Formats: sequence, C-alpha cells, structure tokens
Amino acid sequence: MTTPLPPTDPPAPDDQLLGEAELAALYRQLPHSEPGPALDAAVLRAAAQALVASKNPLAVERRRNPRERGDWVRPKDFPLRDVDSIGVAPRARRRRLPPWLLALGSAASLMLVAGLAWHMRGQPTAAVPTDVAPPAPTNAPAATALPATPAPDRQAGATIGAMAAKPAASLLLAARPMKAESDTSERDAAYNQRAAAGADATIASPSPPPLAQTSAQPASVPPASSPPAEAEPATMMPMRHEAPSVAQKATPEQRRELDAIRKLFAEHHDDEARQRLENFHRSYPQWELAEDLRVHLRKP
Amino acid sequence: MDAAVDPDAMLMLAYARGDLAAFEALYAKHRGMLYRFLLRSARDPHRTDELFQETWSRVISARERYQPQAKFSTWLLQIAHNLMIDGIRRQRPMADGDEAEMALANATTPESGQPEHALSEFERRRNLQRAIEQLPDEQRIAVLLRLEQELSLEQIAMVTGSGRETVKSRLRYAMNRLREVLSE
Repeated sequence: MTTPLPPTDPPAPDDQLLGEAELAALYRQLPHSEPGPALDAAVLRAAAQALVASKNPLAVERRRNPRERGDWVRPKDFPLRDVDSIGVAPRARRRRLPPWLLALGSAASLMLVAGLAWHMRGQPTAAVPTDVAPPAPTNAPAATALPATPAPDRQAGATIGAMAAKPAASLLLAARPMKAESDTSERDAAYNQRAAAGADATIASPSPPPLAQTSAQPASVPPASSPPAEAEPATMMPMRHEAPSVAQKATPEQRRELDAIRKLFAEHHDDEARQRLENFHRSYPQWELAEDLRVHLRKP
Repeated sequence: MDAAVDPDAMLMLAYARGDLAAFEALYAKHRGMLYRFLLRSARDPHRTDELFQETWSRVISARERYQPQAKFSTWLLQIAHNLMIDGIRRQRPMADGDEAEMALANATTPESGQPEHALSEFERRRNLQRAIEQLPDEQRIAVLLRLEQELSLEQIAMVTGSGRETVKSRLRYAMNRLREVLSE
C-alpha cells in the first residue's frame, strides 16, 4: 500500500479496465437499496449496549465473538472479579478422597447394615418365646418344682396388652415350630380365637388361664411314653412339647380337674372321663394335654 | 494505511473509547453501501439483513482491538465478505433472481424524462442486474466492490484475500461478460 487513497477516490488510471466507465455509470443508476429502520435501530441499540457492557462487562447479553462457542453471551449474577474466588474455593472443597478410604467406608456401612438386619431378624423369634415360656430345663422333675405363676400378674399383663393381644398371638404362632402345627391345627385355631378375644374374657372369667401357665402333668409323663414324632432331640425342637409342658402352670383348679380325669380313666369310667376331658379341652383349648390324656381325646 | 488519514478509523477509535455518536456517524456513512453490496452479492433480502446485522455486530465486538492498519471501509467489507463466503460455503439456499430483483426494484430509482427512454434505461439496468447476478461468486464480488465501492485492485485483493492479478483477471472476465449482455 504505497499511496493511501481516500475511499471516494476513483481507481488509478492504470487500473481502469475496458468499458469500466460505461458499466460504472449504468451501475450507479441501479436502485439504491438501504437497510430498514428496524435494522438501523437494532444495530445502534447493539452499539449502545456494547458500551454499557464494556463498563459492566457481563451486565448485558451480547453476541459471541467468532472464536467463542455458541451465539450469545448472557450476563451472570456475580461480578467478573469474583470468578476466580468462586472457581478456586469449590475446587479446594471438591478435593477427592483417596479410594481406599471410600472402600473402607463402604465396607463399614455394609457391615453395619448387615449387623442391624441380623439383629432385627433375630428379635421376634427370640423375644416372644422367652416372654411366653421362660427357658426352663427340659428335665421334667424340675418343672414340677416351679411355683405356679400368680394369675393376677398374667391377667394384668393381659389387661395391659388387650390391644396387642392379637399381634402377640400371631407372634407366638410365628415363633412356634412348624412341626407342632401339624397335629395341633385345631388347637391353633382355637388359640387364635382365644388370643384375639383379648384379656377381657380372661379377666371376666376366672377359669381361662393365661397362656404360659405351667402344667404339672407333663412332669409325670415319662419321656419313653412320648410318641416317636415327639422323640426328637430337644436341640432341634426346643419349644415343641417339652417346653409347653413345663411352661404351662396349672392352677389348683386345673390340676384338680386333670387329676380327677386321670382318676376316672384309672377307674375305667371312660365315658365320664372323656366327657370331662373334652370339656376341659374346650375350656382351655390352648392347653397342651399330656400324652396319656391326649390319646383319649383323639377321635378316630 | 495510516489511521491519521482515514477519518472513519478515527471515528471507530472514538467509539472504542465510548463515544456512541462516533459510531452513529460511522454507521450513517457506510450503511447504504454495505447493504447494497450484501444485497447484490447474496441476492437474498433476508440473508442480507442477517449479514448486515452480523457485520456490524462484529465491528462492535472488535472495537477494543481495532487497529487502523487499513481503511475502515476495507475492513468493514472484509468482514462482510467473509461472512458471506461462510454462508456460501454452508450452501444456504439463496433467493431466486425474481425475489432479489423485486427487492431491488422497490428502492427508489432515478427517473429520466421520456417514457421510452425510461423503459430503455430500465431494461438496461435490469439486464445489468441480471448479468451481475449470473456471474460466478468471485467475479460478482469483485465487480461489486469495484463498481459499488470503487475500490482499487489492491483494496479488492485485500478484502477478498486474493492476489492483485487474480482480482484484475476476475474483473476483466466479469466486465467482458457484462458488456456482452448489455450489447445483446
């Protein structure tokens, strides 16, 4: 660019092409189109906004430069000088933990969850039987030495738990072994009905015993007289028949009734004995009879 | 190009310092020639509006880094040319000749006295316009920069990024074609 020329200067003579003057004259007669007012306003508005934005760099949205991504740059809420401080602090806070620490934490969490699950799983089966039938030695004579549980205590417990009688019964049923249900389905149904009835009936009638009354009768039954199904090791069926027989605590009235029934059977008054036995069983359906009496109760 | 001899460059520098009136003066001076150059090059009124606005947006965005190394008009046309070439490379559909012709015809035209003369001049202008539209892109742009902006070969070369002889060759071919059309 040796000789700067103003924009309106005509081209230098040596640049003139053949017929250019005629074409230029005709060209100047072509319509002189101009941008519309809306376009003018848009451009001037953009120019004014750019000046405002230059004072407050990110206050006005603008079109991006050719090397920037996207089409528009939109204003942000924080001033530009705060960008660095905002960008540095979270980066320091977002420092990654070492992997071994994450693995250790995950393992500890898993152990905690597993332990809690194991603990919660074991609670119902362990708590309910001990509540109903406290652990007693399988030794039969020892059961006879157990004093009868005072009925008022159990009745009071039933009174308090009137609302919870049915759940307690279902818990008891859940805690009972599966095998015991095979031959005591009727007893279970009656037991459920009884438990659902709640403690009102228990209190109203003095005769229905609490659930965990101890029967002295199983103590008199020798182990050899048990049927083969019940001769399984106590470790496998700890609560099956031995425990109820020990756990049932008979009132003097019940004990007298059972003794009387036995006496009637011994005197061969079978009809009367069976009738009284059925009455007893009907009155105390949850009562687990001794085997010598149960054989008379069974129906062909 | 020394900025001291180009008043447009001074206006641009003033705008970069925050003088909005300088930009308004600059815009008023170049709006028409830029618009016509874009309209006759792109041959699409809608596309012309987009290019026109985009060109000025680029000027506005570049105000702080503007260095008056060339004439402002050359720089402005260079921006417009680059944007238009980008559009051509993207193969955007352009308006047909009738739409561009209608847009050009809507503008005011100088009228001559006699009706026959006016019709003849109108046909000649129409033929010239159609001939320009039918030129290849490079030749058409060079002709428009030459006839509309009256740029020198060097300035056209600077705007289009071509060599001087290339520009001269394109202009020669283009003007020969235009003369042929007008002589038919």
